[in-house]
Amino acid sequence: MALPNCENRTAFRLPGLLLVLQLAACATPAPAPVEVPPDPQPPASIDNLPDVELLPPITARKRRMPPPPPVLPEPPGVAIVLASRAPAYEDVAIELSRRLGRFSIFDLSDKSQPPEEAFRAINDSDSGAVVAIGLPAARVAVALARVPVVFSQVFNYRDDGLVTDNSRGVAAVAPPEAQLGAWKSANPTLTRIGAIIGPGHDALIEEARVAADTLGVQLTVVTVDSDQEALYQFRRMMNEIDGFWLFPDNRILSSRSLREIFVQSRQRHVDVAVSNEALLSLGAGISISTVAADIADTIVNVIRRIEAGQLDDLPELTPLSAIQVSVH
Amino acid sequence: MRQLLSWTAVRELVLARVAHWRRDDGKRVLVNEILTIQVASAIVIGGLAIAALYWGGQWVLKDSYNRWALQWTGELNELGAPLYLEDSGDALLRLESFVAKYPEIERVSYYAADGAPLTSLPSDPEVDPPTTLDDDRLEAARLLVGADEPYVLTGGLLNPRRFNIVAPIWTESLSEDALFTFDPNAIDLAAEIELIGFVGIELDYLIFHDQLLANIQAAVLVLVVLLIVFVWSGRRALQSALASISDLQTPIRELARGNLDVEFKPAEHREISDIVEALEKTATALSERDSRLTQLANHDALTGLYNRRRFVEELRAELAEFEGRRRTSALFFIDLDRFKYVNDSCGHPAGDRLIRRVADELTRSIDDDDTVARFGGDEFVVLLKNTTEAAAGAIADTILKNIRRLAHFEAERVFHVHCSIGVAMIDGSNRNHDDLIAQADIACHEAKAAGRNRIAFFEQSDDRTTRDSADVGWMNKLRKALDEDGFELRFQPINRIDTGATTHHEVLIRIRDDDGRLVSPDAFLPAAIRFGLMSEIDFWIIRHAARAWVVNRNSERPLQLSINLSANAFEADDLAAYVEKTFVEYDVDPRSIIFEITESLAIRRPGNVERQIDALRSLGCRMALDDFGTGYSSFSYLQKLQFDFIKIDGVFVQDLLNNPVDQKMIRMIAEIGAEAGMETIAEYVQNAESLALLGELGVDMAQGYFVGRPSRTPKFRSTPIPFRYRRSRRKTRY
Repeated sequence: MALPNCENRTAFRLPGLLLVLQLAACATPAPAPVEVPPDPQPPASIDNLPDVELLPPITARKRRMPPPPPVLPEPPGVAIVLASRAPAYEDVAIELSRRLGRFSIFDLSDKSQPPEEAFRAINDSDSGAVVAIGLPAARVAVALARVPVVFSQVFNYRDDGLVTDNSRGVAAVAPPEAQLGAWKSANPTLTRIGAIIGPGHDALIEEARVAADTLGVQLTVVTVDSDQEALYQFRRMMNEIDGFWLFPDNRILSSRSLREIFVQSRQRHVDVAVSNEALLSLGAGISISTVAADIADTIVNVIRRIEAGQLDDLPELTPLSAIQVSVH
Repeated sequence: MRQLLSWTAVRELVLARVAHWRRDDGKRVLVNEILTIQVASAIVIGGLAIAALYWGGQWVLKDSYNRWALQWTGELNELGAPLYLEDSGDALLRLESFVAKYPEIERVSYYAADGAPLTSLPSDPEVDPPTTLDDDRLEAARLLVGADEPYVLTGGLLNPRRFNIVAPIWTESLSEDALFTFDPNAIDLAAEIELIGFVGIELDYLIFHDQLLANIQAAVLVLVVLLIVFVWSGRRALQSALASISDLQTPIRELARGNLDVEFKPAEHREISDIVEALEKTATALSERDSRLTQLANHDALTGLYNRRRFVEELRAELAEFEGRRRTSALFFIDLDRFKYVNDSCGHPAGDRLIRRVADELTRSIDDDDTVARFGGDEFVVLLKNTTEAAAGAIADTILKNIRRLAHFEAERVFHVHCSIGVAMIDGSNRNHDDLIAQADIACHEAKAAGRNRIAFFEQSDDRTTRDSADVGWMNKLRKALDEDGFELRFQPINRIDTGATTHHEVLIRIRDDDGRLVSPDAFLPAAIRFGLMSEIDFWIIRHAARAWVVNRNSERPLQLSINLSANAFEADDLAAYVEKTFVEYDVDPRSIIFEITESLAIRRPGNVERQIDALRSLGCRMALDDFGTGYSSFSYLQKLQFDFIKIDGVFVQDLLNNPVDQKMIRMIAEIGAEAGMETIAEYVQNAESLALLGELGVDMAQGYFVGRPSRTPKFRSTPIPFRYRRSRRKTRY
């Protein structure tokens, strides 16, 4: 699905329905009625999808119908800034668009409009918040926006100091407890898990340890600074684990280290949990990822709290509620 | 020096063994040779195997070194730990333990990103620390950052065991935060890469090479031991296996020596058993043939009596008994009277039957201790051992009577033959067997001269002594000449009267007397005939005439020889075969040879003569009738025998100029010869007038002193052409 471009009024196509939106920056007529888009059609071949299991008791649900827009006084608009049109970002944007009354979407991968111009426009608009989806968008938003920024789909937020007085984030990964629970349900023999992660994720590590304790799984987490070190540590823990929790920390991962990890895991029969379905093809045993709708809901909630003046009460990262599980 | 001495000692030892492996007679020993071949083969194969093992192992190792070296490139993450781990001290310690486990790792060195050396393992204070990477290697390694094969592997050329690896160590991180856009199939071009240093690995697989060498040495040692065991056991096994062949040595050697009574041990092996069986059969066959040959050599084929050779042995043995003893024995020489009449009348088979009956009669007439032999033809000899003259006379008389009583029936006719017996008493005063036989023969002649059918005792007298000695002397001379090639050939030309050219040469035999003078055949041929040497002399002439033909033939002037054959030779069954064999041996063209037989021989035994002539002509030879005119033969018969030449006896030529009868005779012979297709040759031509007259009378060729004397080698000398021929030529010319 394509998102409307503020400049060229690119048609916003929904499968089966053509809807044209006039952006606030380009026209001032009354907003066109928003039709509730039907549920997206299933893909051509449902067999191509990885298996998805419904997991009680934790919330494990597929995409749900977006809630009807609340009948509220017209809130200020929200500027949605995308790092790119990658599905991971675009899906969230789409879900957001269903939940927000007024919004504007900016795509930083569009070179026709530099980020400065985009944020000038945002700052000049009546947007009450900026939702930055993706690290590049979050960097720029935090740096340039004069309104509160909610960033999402950013894992390594600390390196760029994305949490400020004016910005908060939404977790990029599913709650550790939910992940571990789903993994444990899929692989009940799991007893020893290892994980390697870069620096700055103490809270996440702590959550993971708590979740592991709760589920009776021994968790070993090693913090490293490079892919070489990650591989080095992985080789050392390989014989002592039966599952490896691959956090999506790009700082300590590389194509070669990923290849090596998956090869050796396969050789040693170590189950690997990932947060991206794309890694299933490399040999991961289970993918536990976030749900775009859930991300969108969480973002909206954060925005509402920000609009309610509760920015300071918000945690650095608001956790998500839903997961999507695919098993190889 | 020590090496030289040891090599010399080895060489001497080898030579000594080789000498030991040959028998004293220098011949090779089969067992040793087979063993040598096997051992040599084993050594060659073993050497090739070891060489293959070594070179193959080297090649495999070299290939393995390469792969092993490459394997270490897979451990770069492990080996490079000190570069990227914060706690590099512990990492180094762990690596040191790790490296110590692999003897092929000589050193692991670490370099900073600019190539400056950092540290190395194992940390040996005695080993020089690593030096800065040279620029070339540094640059080459730097360029490998991010490559699929991020290492520089050098080595293997000069020393295939040593390898050097230099590899960059870099960190890499994916560009996309949280891997949201990660595509496992795509290359992350935005990945961040940071070079943090280099690791150098020095590998030396010497230990494996040494291990290979040690294994090869062990293999060589094992092979050598096995070889020694093989040689020892193989030798014994071969000897055992070839024992049955070795057992054949002695009996075969005995067989070669002529011992036909040798025994062969039974063989266990089938092949040897077959050989032994064949040898036994051969020995048996040889023995039987030996007996047959002995029988043939010692006995007369017709009668079964001893032959001359065997009788002479008996006589000599008897004469040896006279050594130191006083005794007398008697020797009879018995010649049948008128035996020729039976032969001529009834043919050879009848004559043979008569001979056999006479032989039986003689055998019955003597004791078992005495010996009777057939000397040939119708001649027999009897040896009475240890007898007196009176007893000998009585026995001779008995024999005489028995022979007289002998009635032989042939073709419905009865023949009574008599015999003449010559007796020579042996008293030990003369123990020369030839002399004694000659004495008995002489006495037999006297008996015949006295009227036949009687006995005559040899009595010594001066004249007799001289004559007898002369006869026996000639016999000895002839025997010696035959044995030692003492005869000499002379060649007398025969020329055409009309052209004066030499057409062929008659071969004449000569012998030298004690004074060295040449003696003509008239002097010794009677003795030759008497003592049965004529046939041998004829064969000698044929052989040497063939040799002379080969030596003297000339491509410009064809050489033809005319050879006389005696009655003895002409009656030999193997005459034609001998002639053919001789001509083939010397490559003589048979068309260049003419055989002469006398007219009297030709008419004596017509059947045999015809057969022999046909046999000789079939070889390609021509025939000449010698001494024609003296044999009272019929021309029709002579024409039937197909002679090519008629030689007119010299008796008609001697007085030709003055004897018209001779002239008429010669003319007639010439005319008939011309009509019959035979060329005529006149012998005894002494002068030109005779030659001319012979030409007038129609004779074709002439022989005699006027034409040419006998010479050592065939000479070609033209004789004057008579006027009539010269005149006819002029006529022809004009």
